[in-house]
Amino acid sequence: MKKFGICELVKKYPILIGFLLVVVLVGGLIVQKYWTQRQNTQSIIFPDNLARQGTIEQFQNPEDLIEYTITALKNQDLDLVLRACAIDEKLLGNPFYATLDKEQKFGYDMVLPPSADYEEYRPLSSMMLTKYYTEQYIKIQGQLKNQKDIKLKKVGILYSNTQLSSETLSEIIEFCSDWGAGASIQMAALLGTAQGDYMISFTVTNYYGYWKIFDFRAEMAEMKTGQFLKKISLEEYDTAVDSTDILSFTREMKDAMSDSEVVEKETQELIEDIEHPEKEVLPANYFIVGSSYGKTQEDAIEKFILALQRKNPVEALSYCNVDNATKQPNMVTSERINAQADYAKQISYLYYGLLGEAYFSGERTLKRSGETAMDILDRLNPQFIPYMNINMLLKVTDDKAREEEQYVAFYTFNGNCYISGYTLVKLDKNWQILSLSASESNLAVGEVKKISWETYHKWIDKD
Amino acid sequence: MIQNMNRNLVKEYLDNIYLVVFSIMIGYYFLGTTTFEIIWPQYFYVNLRTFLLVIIVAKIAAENNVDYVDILLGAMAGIVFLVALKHNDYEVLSNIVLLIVGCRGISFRKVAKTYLIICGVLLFITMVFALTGRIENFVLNQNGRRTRIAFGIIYPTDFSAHVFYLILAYCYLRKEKIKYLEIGIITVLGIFVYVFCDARLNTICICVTAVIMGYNKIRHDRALKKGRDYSMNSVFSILLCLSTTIASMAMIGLTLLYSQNHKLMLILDKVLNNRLRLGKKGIDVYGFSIFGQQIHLIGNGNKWTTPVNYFFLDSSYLFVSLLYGILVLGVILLLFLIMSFRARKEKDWTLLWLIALMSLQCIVEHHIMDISYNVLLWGTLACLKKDVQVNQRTHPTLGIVKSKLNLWKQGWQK
Repeated sequence: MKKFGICELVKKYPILIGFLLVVVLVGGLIVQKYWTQRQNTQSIIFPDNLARQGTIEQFQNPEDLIEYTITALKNQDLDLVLRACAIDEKLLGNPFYATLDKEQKFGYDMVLPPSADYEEYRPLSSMMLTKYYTEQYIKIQGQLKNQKDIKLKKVGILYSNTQLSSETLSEIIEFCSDWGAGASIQMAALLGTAQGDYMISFTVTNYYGYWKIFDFRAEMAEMKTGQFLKKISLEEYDTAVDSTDILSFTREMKDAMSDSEVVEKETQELIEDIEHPEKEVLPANYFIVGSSYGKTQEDAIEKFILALQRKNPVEALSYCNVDNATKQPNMVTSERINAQADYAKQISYLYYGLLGEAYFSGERTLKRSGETAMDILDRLNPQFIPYMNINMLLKVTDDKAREEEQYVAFYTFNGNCYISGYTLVKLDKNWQILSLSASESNLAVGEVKKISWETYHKWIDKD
Repeated sequence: MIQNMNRNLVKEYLDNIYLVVFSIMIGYYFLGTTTFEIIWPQYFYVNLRTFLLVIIVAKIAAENNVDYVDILLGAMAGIVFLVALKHNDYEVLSNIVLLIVGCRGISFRKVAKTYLIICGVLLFITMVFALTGRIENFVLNQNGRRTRIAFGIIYPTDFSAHVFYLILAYCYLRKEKIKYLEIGIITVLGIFVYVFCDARLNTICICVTAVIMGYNKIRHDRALKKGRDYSMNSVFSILLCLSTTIASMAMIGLTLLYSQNHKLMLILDKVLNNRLRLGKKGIDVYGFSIFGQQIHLIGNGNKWTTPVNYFFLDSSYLFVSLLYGILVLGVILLLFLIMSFRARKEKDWTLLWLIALMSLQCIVEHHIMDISYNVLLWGTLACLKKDVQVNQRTHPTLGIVKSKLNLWKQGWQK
């Protein structure tokens, strides 16, 4: 009877039914699209301090930038300090090829991943640079010894005449050309404390008219390795930092660089006058990774790899156990930044290994391997990672007491078979990746091994 | 009256000019699927498209009355395809929509005939050139398979797909008047592509076409003997009308449900030659999008060996939805739905069967929106009326010449 009813309905309204079916299919696919997007957990989170809206786009005067940074350092505001640093600028200007070509050697940890050349590495470089600046921040804080009575007395250019000398200028031009900067200046600030005066130095770089902190050190300040503050008398400071007007100097520097035809001559723009740079907030330029979980061990690994295939290493990283490092979930902490940068490094290792750059520690000369810097840069192009297949996931060990398990993943990529390790940890009912290693199978952190098909089949048979 | 006559004459001329440009466009795309290395004149392609656009505008201007459904469908296809083009950068979308709209109002018989002549001749020339060694002829020896020959086309499966769509065009033209000998030849062609190309799924499609054409002929002949026209079962004919939509729902649904942990799915995937696994990978990695996206597919075409990172979306329904977008798929399904119901209204049961066969073939092949392959795409807005076919037994240009000749004769006799 029911069947008859459907037949009658089909006979009576055939076009309408056809139209409805098309609508159902299209609607279903749209729903599937948005449902999948909702399933993807929030890869990036915004702790309270990172969520602060920027009040100013940029500093066009390096003096304002230094004033802003010193205030942030004084207030122990890591977030504001990081916003002043050239994180995005450095990862986009990252001279991977130039460095390898100049040094004629390559190592896994020698340089940042080639983020200027391949977008997949950008979040990884960003996290590594954030860690780099955070480490400098922590060292500065350690040397400031929590002194709250710091006063910024003076800001100026270090040995302005020397910086404009043709020898130094040619070095600056090469440095700027490598890092994609328009100009670079070494600056210093005089800080007054109850214990006396201190000098802190900076290397600031210019990008399209605005300034960022490239480093919390300046070569001309002649400080020891690891030293960021130097006790100094006013006379000594005045000898090192003359009274040259900073804006005039920056123009002079830019002109001098333009004359040498390396840097394009920029039109003289009117520089915005900022009354209280110390009260401003620069826009956020780094990110904090959220937490995602797998329902099972395999699910966590598969989702991690799928995120890499989607060219989204940030999402992949959210499946790693970053959260464990932090005690203040609503704040940007150095622990969290360090933890996520360590996982970023592991992911860059995984990329390198899968792309055929076999794991090794230290550095190797290019001459010995008969390669050029371009060969390595080409090899590290991850554009074909989406086409990689995971053939199998094998559990190799199970630590019930610590609720940790080790897995080996088998991949087929570029016609080869690779394996890498995963150590997973159980958190409540879900799983996260503790490290990209499987010590039980001699797979170090982030290590990828190329195996023969015979070995692969042996593993399968063992399973 | 005279004005109307002139308008019809202009329309007929424009239709013929359109068919010439259509032939060049089809030929251009066909040659793109061969191993001919042709250096086309600069702007050839762009100028051809501009010319196509001008003819379409002129054709619309010369129209007396346009069906509102056609206006709606044409406009919808135009908007969706061109917006999608802006998002996904697949330029071919603009040509497809122009050719679909351009075929509006032209007898589909003429379109199919043009397609059959152009692609048939070009395929024959390509085969001759390939077999005589003038162009590259891919002869592939793949693991565990017989030797596969592409006959000058970029891949053996693509050669078999050309054969399949040419058979569809031929069957449409012959309809129930097809002879058993012709059905036998179609079966032989099926065996030919199996033996020389090892294209299993296309072989099945070609052989199923032969069976269906035979069945269709028998049903028509029986009805004719009883002195009445053959009429297909109403519900069954509706099912055939919905075949494209049902096939796409089935393929997309199965792909979404695919999992390496389900044995049944693994068997089905094996039968479909990894199409479910690759489709699922496409959905997982790239995801569906409203207006499509650029996906770099790595196929076997134009290569002697299988590429190391092979990734190709063979099913048309996944190919269109992932690359061109969900809305483009929706419009294509709607166009075929309307075409099917128009064919049903005209009691063109052969065309209904052919659409169903195309829907089946598109489950395993990516040619639903391929300009030089899918002849039925050009029938979506074309005129499917049988009386057009009766009235226009002679080619319109010939008809005009004949009528003028008669007038001149009459004048001369006076």
